[in-house]
Amino acid sequence: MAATIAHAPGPPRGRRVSRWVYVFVLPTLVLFGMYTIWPSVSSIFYSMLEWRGLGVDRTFTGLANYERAFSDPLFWGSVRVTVLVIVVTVPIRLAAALLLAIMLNNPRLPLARLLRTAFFIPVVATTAIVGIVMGFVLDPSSGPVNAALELVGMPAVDFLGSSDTALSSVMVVHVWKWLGITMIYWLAALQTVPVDLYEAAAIDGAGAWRRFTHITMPLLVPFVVIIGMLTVVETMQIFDLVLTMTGGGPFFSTLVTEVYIYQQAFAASNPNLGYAAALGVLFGVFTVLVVGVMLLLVRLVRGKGADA
Amino acid sequence: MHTPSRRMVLGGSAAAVLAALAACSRSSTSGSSGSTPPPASGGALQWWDHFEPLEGALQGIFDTWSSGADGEVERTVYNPNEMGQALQLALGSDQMPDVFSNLTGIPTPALVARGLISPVTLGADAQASTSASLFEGVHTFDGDVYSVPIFSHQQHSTLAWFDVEQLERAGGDPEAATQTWDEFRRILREIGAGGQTAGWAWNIAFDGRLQEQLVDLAQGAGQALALNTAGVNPADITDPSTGEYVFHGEGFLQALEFLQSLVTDGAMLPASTSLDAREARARWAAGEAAVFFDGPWNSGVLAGQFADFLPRVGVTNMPTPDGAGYSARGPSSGQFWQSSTSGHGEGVSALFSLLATPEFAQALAGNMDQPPADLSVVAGADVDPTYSRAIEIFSDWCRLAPSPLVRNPGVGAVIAEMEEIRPNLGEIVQGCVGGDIDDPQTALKTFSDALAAERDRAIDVVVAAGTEVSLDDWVFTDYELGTDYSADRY
Amino acid sequence: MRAPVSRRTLRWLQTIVLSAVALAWIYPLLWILSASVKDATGIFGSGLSLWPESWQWENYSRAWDEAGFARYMVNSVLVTVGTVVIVVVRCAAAGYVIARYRFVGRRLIVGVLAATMFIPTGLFVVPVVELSDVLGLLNSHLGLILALAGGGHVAAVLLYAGFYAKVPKELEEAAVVDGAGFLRTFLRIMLPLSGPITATVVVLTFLATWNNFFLPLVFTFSTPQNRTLAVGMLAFQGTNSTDWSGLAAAASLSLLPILALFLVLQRYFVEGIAGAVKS
Repeated sequence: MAATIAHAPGPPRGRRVSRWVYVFVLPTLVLFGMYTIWPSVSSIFYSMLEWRGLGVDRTFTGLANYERAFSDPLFWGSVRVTVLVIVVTVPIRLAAALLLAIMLNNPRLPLARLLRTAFFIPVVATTAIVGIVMGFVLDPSSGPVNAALELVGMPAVDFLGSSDTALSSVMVVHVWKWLGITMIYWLAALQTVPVDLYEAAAIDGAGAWRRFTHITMPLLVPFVVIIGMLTVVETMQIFDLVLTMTGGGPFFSTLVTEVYIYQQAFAASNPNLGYAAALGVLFGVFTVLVVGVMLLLVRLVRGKGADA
Repeated sequence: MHTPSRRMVLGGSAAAVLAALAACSRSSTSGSSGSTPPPASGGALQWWDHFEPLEGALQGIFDTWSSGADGEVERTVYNPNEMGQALQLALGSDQMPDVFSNLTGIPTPALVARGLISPVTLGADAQASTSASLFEGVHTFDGDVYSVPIFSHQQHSTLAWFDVEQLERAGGDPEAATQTWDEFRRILREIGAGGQTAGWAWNIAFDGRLQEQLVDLAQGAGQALALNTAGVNPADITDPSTGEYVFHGEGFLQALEFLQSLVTDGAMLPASTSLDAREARARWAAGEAAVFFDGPWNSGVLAGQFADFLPRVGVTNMPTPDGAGYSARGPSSGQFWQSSTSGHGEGVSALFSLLATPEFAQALAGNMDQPPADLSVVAGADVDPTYSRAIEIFSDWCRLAPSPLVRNPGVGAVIAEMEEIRPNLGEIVQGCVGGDIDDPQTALKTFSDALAAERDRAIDVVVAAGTEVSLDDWVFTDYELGTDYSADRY
Repeated sequence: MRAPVSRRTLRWLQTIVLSAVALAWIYPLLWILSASVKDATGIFGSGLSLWPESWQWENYSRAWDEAGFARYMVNSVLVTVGTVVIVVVRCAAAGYVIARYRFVGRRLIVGVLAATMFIPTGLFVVPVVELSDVLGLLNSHLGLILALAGGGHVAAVLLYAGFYAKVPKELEEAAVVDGAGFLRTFLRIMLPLSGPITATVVVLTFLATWNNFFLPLVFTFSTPQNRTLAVGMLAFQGTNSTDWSGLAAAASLSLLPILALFLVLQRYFVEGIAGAVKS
């Protein structure tokens, strides 16, 4: 994404304007420094402390927390679960939401407004209660999903209570809950596609698919990267839903990293903020690395495409 | 065409900025004292706890105090999940309340050692009435009183609550003090076989409660245990004869097998695998299952939310192998502590003295939550029959366990130093029931060993820091399950 | 131009399929609404059924009185509106210059913004509280709004930047020819153009702020009268029980403003640059 924006052509301007430029970024920089950079730096500092629960005793222990983290199977298990959730749900959300957005972007589609609202609704539904509803929907003995399975002669599935299926079930509910957000990202992005282009193409006799691949897609490419990244970040922070639906269980099968960090920091029988901070820093570094490599690959592929 | 409306939107948002900023600056200056923490004395006494059902009882003593003294109490009730974090954040920003319930995960002796809580001065009446129930290392430190227990140690979380009609239809005796494991299994199977309702609803998604239930059942199966306090935390629970962690012992293995057999019998409500205690209770109360394990507070919750169902409910003690079995917990800790930053010392002392009055115990009983420190007041209180029955069971079958912490408060420093071992006891139960753990015995042995190793490490750290503590502090060779290990036996 | 009738039929077909899916999508919300007028037995006894056997309107009065919703609602609106306004203004401004101007440090800013997106923020509340304490911002709405509007929101900056990068240069040049300066160009041309992005940012920021729990909690420790709805809902979840019907009523009340906002703003979601260029 850094790449896509970096190449935006800026109109050459004189000195008078450049002062305004700094005035415009200043508020963001100041707030960013206070509420993102400072906490990040603090987290790195915390991660080198032995800091238990109520914070009077803080002793500097260097890299001890990191040593422990590297050999903590639950942490790496949680990273594995989180990565799995990202790898599975992000592409599904991006594709399904794009399809939805394209259909709902058509002003001539009957009931479009109503439908847009309907698909946005799960986003605002209170997570604590969503957990209860989904418990009924996915109930192993009386839920409608299992009733449907029974109709086609399949055995009942304990969707949330078995460590084999709990993660898949959480992922499905996660996609359901947050699809509306990705949809409105896409709707916003679609507004940069000039309508006249469509009209011209339609007159030329281009079908829906050709219009999509030849007009919409190329114009959306920069947004694919931005929205993809936003969706990855949101998915990394999957937290409330897991906490209310499974609490990370059964037997760690849905323990995502944010939940594990939270447990270490605040919910353990003996909370350990220093260790939790170390886990947070490690996880952050890990993700930045993964995303960095992905962006590099995207750039390479696109660079090649441009050469050819 | 859209331009005018856009301008309106812009204009509107500019106005909103001004309004919002104006409002902010107003509220920041008119707030109690703006940015600085509230002055140490003066202002309402801040009281934070996580005992939502105690509303009435606490309000009673707050009113009593307010009417006599010039002050008022501002109480905030937290969800237990959030209380610990709230306290950590409050401490980090010098906003500790005057009184709080300790959900920090830190044992009380460590709170004292870190200077986070301060002693109170009880009135003469309160001193007299609590003299037998205060333990050094739990409530008093160096002779100073820090808190008074309001709940009894005579309780557990594994009472069998049932739908009387269902139980009778399956041939069970609702008046029985308890059932044997075999009889209990038979009843559940029979109810489940009827097909109308499941035999039993369980809270498998709540590992903290699973842990308590396993410890209760293991004691019922004859495993004697030493417990530091009335709370159930694996690091606090040891074998009194050797001082070792004993989660792989016969009692625990049998209890786990018993629980597993209830599941494999097919008597369990299938949804139990993903229910916590609140949801499991609600599904049980809605008629989906006949039996539910819970503590005495179940009466209170049912009275509040499922009043129609309560008259059809009965309760017996937890099932045990032979239909008779004691359980025990360590001394009940104080629930409320005075923050050392409090400027309301006199007020807090007065309030804590009121906690020790029979009137408060009476009001507490009326809430039908955890049993009051003095069980006998329940008989005179206006409570549901199921609650009186639960308390009767407790006074017959629940005893006081020996506490290494009472013998040597240095034990508290060791516990505070220990890291949590995971999977924890509840998660192991969850794993065994769900098929993620094939060999319970090995899993429990690994757990005991890991705890023992962690305790050894913690002892080294604590001893190096100058505290005198050794493994001998955990050994109580003269204890027998079923007896009270009262203060005079230390 | 094939037969227009078939295209219209096709659209109706789309609508029918989408409506079927949408019903499944909104079902849980309907369930919450129905739970808000049931009693606890009704919620857990009737499973998935939506129709309450008895209507318990007092759940709402309980939510309103016990949880002190009237006061919390005012606080929530104040805090959320303040946060949304700051976020929109600062993110649009930053996105604009990042997308359309080259200046010293620009690449660094973009890089750092992008990288910090991936830092888990679960623990940020601890240092943010310490900082606010030092700056004397604790226990005020202003401090809370700054903390809510200051942390994160990289997404908003990126969305604005992505959008402004696509705006045709002609629009700006025309403005310059008309004699508009930097500020005027931004306020009169650019900001209004970005309606779809602003709508998105407003809705998402509103949502996140409205539901935020720990920051509002910490900033109101000693000023309970400043608490927000999300914090006020604490009252429904106790040690051993949860007042599900009260919680459902409170949740229904608290999501009305967000839904209303979405309905009002949604025309911006389908209103592009193209139309603006023409007018």
